[in-house]
Amino acid sequence: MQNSFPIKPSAMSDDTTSLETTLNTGASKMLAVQALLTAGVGLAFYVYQGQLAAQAALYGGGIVMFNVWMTNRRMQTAAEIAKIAPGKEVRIFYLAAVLRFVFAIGFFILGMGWLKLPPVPMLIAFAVAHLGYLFNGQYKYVSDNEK
Amino acid sequence: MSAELITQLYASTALIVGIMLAAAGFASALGWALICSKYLEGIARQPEMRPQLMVQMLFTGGLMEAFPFIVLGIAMWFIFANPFLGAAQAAIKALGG
Repeated sequence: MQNSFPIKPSAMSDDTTSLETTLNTGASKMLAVQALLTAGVGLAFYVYQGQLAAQAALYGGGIVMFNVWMTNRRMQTAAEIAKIAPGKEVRIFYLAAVLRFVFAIGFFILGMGWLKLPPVPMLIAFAVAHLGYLFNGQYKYVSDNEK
Repeated sequence: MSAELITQLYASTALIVGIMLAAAGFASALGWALICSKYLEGIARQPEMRPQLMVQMLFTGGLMEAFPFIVLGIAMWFIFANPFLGAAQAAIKALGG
């Protein structure tokens, strides 16, 4: 039967690549891209609106980066648990999803409610930093002719 | 600006925030369901690709969740730094109230 799967992961050439390594590489790359995007937005706000807006932008991007880092840690734990007891790792996935929401809400409350940072730069940097997910670089498209 | 108007503004904002969060939660659940179903289909077709598919699923899920998170951020903005209050005050002032 011909393999009809059109997407070939770049990591697949090396079958020994473990899940943990793939996760770590993807998360590191993503964090680096998010840091760059956040710094860019922060710089733009610093130039056009001043220091407070830049601080808010950095804070907004920081929320996303913290969430990625924390989720990666949880996934590493889940991968370790999956080796010992397959199926039990789903709990960690749920926990990671819940914690992401809890921390995001907590950081927004802290930033907007307590630190009184301007919300618009924070939200713009938050949205832009999320684009880092597009640049995890794990997969490349392989057309049928290339197979 | 009267207390009644401020109360009305806050009540309307709370209602809108509730609707926004409900829609975001629904969309997020639907998105996760679709992503996870495709992930399981992928494993069923090619079980040896499970680790790669899982990583891709998690990153795609993260990208999909960006939109509910942005909605969550906007909702927090409406709650903790209500922009409509200032706009209403400015409008009333402009009208000479």
